[in-house]
Amino acid sequence: MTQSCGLMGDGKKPVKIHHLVKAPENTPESVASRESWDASKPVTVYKTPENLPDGSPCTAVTVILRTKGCAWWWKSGCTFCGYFNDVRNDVTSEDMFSQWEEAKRRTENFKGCKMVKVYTSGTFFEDRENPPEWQEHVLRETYEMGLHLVVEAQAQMCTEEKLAWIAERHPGCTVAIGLEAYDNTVLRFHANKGFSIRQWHRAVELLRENSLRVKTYLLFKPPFMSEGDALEHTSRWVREVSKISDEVSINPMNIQKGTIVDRLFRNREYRPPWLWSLVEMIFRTHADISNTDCRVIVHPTAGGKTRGSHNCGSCDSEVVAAIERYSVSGDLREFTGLECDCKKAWHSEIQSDATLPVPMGAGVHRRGNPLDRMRAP
Amino acid sequence: MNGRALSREVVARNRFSRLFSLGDRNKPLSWAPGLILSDLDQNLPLEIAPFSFNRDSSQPPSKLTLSTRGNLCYPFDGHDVWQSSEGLVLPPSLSSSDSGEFGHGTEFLPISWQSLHHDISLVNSEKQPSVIAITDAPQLSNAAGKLSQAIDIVRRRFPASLIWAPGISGPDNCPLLSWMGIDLFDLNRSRMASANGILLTSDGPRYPDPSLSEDSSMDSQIAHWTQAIASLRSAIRSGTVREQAERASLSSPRSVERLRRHDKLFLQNIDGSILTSVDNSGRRLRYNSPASRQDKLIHDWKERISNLHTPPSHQSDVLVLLPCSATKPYRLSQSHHRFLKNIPSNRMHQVMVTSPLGLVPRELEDIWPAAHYDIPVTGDWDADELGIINSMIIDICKRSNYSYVINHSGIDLELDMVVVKGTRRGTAGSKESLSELNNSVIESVEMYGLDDVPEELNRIELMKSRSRFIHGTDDWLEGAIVSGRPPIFSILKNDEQLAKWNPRDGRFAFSKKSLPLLLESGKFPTLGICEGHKWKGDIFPTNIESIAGEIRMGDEILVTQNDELIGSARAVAPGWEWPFGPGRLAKARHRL
Repeated sequence: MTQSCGLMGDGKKPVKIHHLVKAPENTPESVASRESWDASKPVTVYKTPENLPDGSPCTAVTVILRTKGCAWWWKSGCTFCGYFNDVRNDVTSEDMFSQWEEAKRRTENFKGCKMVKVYTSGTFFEDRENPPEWQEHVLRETYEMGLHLVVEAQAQMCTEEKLAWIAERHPGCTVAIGLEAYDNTVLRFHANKGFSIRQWHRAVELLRENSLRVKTYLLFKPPFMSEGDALEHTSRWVREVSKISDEVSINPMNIQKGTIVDRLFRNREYRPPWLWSLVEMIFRTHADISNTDCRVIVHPTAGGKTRGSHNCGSCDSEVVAAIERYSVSGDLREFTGLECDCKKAWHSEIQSDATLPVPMGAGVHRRGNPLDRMRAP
Repeated sequence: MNGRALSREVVARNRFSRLFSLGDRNKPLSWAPGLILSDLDQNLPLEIAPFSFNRDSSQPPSKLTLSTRGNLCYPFDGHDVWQSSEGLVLPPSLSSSDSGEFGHGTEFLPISWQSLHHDISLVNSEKQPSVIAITDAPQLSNAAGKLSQAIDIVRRRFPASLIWAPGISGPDNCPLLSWMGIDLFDLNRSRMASANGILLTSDGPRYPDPSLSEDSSMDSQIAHWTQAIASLRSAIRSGTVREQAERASLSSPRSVERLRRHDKLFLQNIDGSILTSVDNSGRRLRYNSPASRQDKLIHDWKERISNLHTPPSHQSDVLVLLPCSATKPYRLSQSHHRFLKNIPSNRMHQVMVTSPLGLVPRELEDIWPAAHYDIPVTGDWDADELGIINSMIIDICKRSNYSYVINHSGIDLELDMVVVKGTRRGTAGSKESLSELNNSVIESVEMYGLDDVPEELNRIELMKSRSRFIHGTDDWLEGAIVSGRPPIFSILKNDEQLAKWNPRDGRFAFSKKSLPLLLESGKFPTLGICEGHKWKGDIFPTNIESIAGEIRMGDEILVTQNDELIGSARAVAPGWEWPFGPGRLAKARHRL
């Protein structure tokens, strides 16, 4: 009982969360899997209905490219991000051009699309990640094609020089920053995000100065957080960041392979959010957001599956559809008539999380025989 | 975050399960095991719910507030509010890491698997909070064995604290959690059950029965909680929590698993500081399920019989194995009355074959737990029981070097190092069997020249054998004689009484005169009273300077001050509660 570091400690120095993030990524299986991909082909290309900045509906094409990955991942990495599964170290400039051409080929030069989202599993305009000549080519070409461009970046990568360079080549494009949480403790502890709120505010200022659009990602239910806390915090964060963002995209946690969250999920220490929590968050924030020019979208990736936001299994598809409809219409009537018995169980879990000292929640499985779920844990 | 400590006293104990009175000890207002209420819960009586809890999660880490619902802290002039920080908590599977911000608080302390691994402040013995919450209990309950481990270590480290495992308790597992060391429960699972239209009862979750107008409302759930807590408190008083925990655990595979893991943990802790050495309260140990065999008390008995116990010196040649009886001590049963009549020699070492204790030597049949257990008797042994009994017989035969074994027990023995004579002909009590037993005893007396020893020698050797088993020494009996009429004997030396043996107590009642001899033997637990302290009453944590030796509940403890023997006391709390346990640890017995 007298070990140097606690009642049950073995005397070893604790490792940082950063080491836990890196551990699964560096396994031979993970490396082999990444290196098995064809670097000349993009990860995926697909089309979705979207809204242009002026609110008019359009078709958007999403191009996810296979890159060298994120500079923050090279050093540490976010607890929930599994994008490293899609990257490889030896991607060349030629590969990047080749992938871009392949994306155009597959979509017939983005036929019928007015928006293109170019995702690089990192920061689009970070030169260490993506070749500058390729960045320039994409920026100019999409601008010349009249496409509204959406790229992603980490807040600390949004430097004055780089944003001016972007704005010059594709004026008015959207830069999406994965803020995930409007709380420094959550950024540091739950997300291991690598930047602070102050840095995000600075990035937003610079984007505004360069007349670029600000899109902010928020993460619903980061690891080490209960369902109840996630609902409370994310509702607050949405209200805060919507005041200074053009668009807020709320990403409910989904379990990505090889991440810390995956490890917790397999150890039954984490469950993705309830779909009801997303609905509740929308109701709690709708009025405040309506008073801003910000558009809020919620996209439950893998919604209805156990590795994504889910409910009891019988109401999931209806609730996912309603959330997605709301993201387009912004109309609360999308949820009219949506009810299920499992809503009471969800509500009970939210209440428990708020009233018990259980920072990681007290929820139980949502599916299966109710009597078995209620047996003593 | 400081506050006044909770006034608490243990009024009944059953291993880690303890019934606490809370508030003024002369007029307690509430009790634990009990409930902690949240803002959502209805206003329950103080007697069942001593605390209320609030969590402010507006900014991580959350701020926690635990409040007393009555005047429970000295000088009992108002309610107390204890605040603490929840800390940043990583899940148990990431215990190799450290969030850098542990839960902290003075009287209300949040603890997690992570802080148990990395928070060095928990080692500081000055930290003695009134209430502890294991904040990752729901996650620990999903990880094989971790909840049992966490509760075990927190329970032993903080013997005076009330422990709460939030979010996991219900009327169906509160006896098990209490047996493991949890004192405080909440209504979370009942609320969840209610939301699912299920009634959470002592027998587990079930749907309400419409024919009796049952429902799953919180009123109904609370009625089941009230019943469960009343039953648990009563079980602590009567020493039957283990039975209740075994019964309750059957409603959930996780609970069965948890009880097994808890038993395994206890077995790994080689000392007996959780056990009782003497219990003359009249309680019975009912070993009605196979799970009972895993209890530490049973293993401790088997271990000591197999590896330590030595028979009276004049009974080292012939072993007589007899069946047990439902009546305890066995000699009071009709069957043993007949056996004893047919064992016409005091040179036979009589040992009873039984379950779950395995073997009970005649000289130990009055002591705890041999005189206090009940098992269902069908006359059949299962493979596990046979294996245990056989291995114990082999162990004692090896150590005691018997020349001959008379087997009247009816079980098949697998002994090749000694001659075995079976004497059962049909039932053990049949005329043929008894005659065979009688003949075999006479034969062995003749064969090995085992004439009876004088009764005085027989008595003192029996006492010595008992003392070796109970206290690990018989040095204090050197030169002593036994006098008196059965069943109560006096042990005298130089015409001065050293002790009394009353089989109903199952212990030696030592006199003042014996204390120097006991100290000299070096085998009795001792405690040192603080220098300068004038010892008047009983033994409390504040009096104690040092402790030596293993203390079991009921043990005789020698009291010293400045290395001088000043008296003796009897432990009312087992060793794990020493020296920081709540309230009185031992009752003063002799002052020199």
